[in-house]
Amino acid sequence: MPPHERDEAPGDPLLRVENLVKHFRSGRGREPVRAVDGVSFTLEKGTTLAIVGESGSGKSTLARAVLRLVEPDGGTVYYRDENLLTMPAKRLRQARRGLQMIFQDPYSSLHPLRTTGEIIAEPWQVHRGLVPARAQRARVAELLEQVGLPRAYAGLYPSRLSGGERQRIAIARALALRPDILVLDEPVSALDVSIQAQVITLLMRLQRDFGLTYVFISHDLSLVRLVADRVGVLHRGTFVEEGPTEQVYDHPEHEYTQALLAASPALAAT
Amino acid sequence: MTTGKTTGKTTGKTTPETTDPTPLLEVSGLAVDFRSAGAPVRAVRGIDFFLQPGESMAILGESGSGKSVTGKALLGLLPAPAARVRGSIRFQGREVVGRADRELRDLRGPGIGLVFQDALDSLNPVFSVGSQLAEIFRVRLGWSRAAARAEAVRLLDQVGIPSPESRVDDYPDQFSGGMRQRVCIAMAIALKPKLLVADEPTTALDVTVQAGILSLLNRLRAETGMALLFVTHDLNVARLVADRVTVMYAGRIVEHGPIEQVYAQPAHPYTKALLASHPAAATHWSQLRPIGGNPPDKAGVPPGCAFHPRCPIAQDRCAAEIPDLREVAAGRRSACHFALEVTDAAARA
Repeated sequence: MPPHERDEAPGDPLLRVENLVKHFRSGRGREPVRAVDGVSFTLEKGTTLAIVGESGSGKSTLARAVLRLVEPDGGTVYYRDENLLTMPAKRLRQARRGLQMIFQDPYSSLHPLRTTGEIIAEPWQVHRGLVPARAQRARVAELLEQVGLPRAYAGLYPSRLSGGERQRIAIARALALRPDILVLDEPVSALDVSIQAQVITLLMRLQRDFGLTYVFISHDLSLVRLVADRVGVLHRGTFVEEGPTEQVYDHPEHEYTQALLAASPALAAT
Repeated sequence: MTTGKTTGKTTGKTTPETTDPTPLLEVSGLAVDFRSAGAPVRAVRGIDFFLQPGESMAILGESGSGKSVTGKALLGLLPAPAARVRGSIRFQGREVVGRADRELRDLRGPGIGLVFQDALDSLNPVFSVGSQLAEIFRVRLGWSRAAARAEAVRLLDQVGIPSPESRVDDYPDQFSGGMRQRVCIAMAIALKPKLLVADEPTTALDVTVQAGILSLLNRLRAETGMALLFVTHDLNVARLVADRVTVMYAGRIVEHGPIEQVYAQPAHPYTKALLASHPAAATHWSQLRPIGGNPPDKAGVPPGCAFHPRCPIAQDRCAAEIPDLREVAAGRRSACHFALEVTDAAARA
């Protein structure tokens, strides 16, 4: 049964990350780069945790380490009470169906020589049996509808689509596996200003309608405030502060959080 | 407004020299076409604006709006025959359009300085920043090696680079992104231009670094009296540096006016929609009011008002007739057939 259709009360921890570490070697005799240096958090079903930080803070590496897209050097990632980091490869492939990622750049994340229908259906080649072949066309149409695109888009190539439409296709592809967690790595920062709000409201409606759980990685503090239940402020590979969004914004405790909030032009101008 | 705490936007420079009959910059009927395989791409489709000495104006727009092309056109940086520039750009009373590259040398540098988004691409990686700065004075002003180097150190100090005497011999890759952008600003202001054109100068930078660059630009303006044309897609960044704003959409100006007035009471549906779709306008995602549809791509701009397919108040007339940019209040212009209805609605809200 698809993961998000299992019975699970809202508020249960769905993902538990403990002391996650990822270091990169940077050459003989040099100190390793401590990209992720002991991060812990829990993610409750149906909620959004935002991870904010500046470039080099380790936020993208953290996202990839949680999904084991890069191999972490230490820590545990419990997803439905199983440690992803010690899972054998075959089991990990199955588990990943429930954990999907959306990338920043919809121009490079879609295969240019496949139609959008093929792109959305592609995950079913890996997770066979999820959607029977005869039902795939209808399911693609349904997914397109869910992300606000006409069915006829199934026959188009990505080059015909705008940035916002491409990101909708990437979202449909992720939803094709009925995941329960989406890791969103700067999902709107490559989009035009007038399109960002479209994609954000789409993502949040999908969360509401399907009970999805989000890890929302962003540098945009004014946006994070609108979507996140909790915020973790990442600085040099560690959370300097983590807590409910309102509390972090209204009463930032760490001086780095205070500096970030003070520097944000959108927040300064209101 | 509490912007002062982060960037220290100077006050008292908001009044342009209204007594001066000749603006520093006067653009009229500017149009830019690019050759392409099919029909030419009409990047800028007839715009007019002016800038007084010492003034700061933002050109606000999305990708494809023509804002960056406008900035480049001012310096004569759009080469024929790939680009066809028509209309008039008068800087200190002298025409820029149609002049040969050689004739524009005294414009670029001492007249107008330019800063781009990507500082790393703007610097030569194999020369120290000091030698790149000093070269300007040696080539353009014929200064001695020692004098040029001393001026390079002074400039690095002016743009806020710590210990400039030792950093002057460092190479671009030894600087952080923000420090590199400061070096680019130093190069742009080296010949004391009357106008600095900054094209998305902080878009590639982190917010804490961005705040430093914006306050540097404000400080340099106050110190040197130069005018600033700030090209950006970011509503809030524009507000931190500019007195006036020009909003572009699909190669045309849709709205123009003092920035605080425009933001408080937009006179064009596009500006209004842009403000309402911005995170700063909401406290919860459900309050965001997205603009439907997509910005037109350059090859196919809709007829009439280019915004009409996405506009909530569009009528038949909007698809047929391009609206003129008309004055709607003192110092404010809007290119909407229903501009007065838009401002009235904003006033009631």
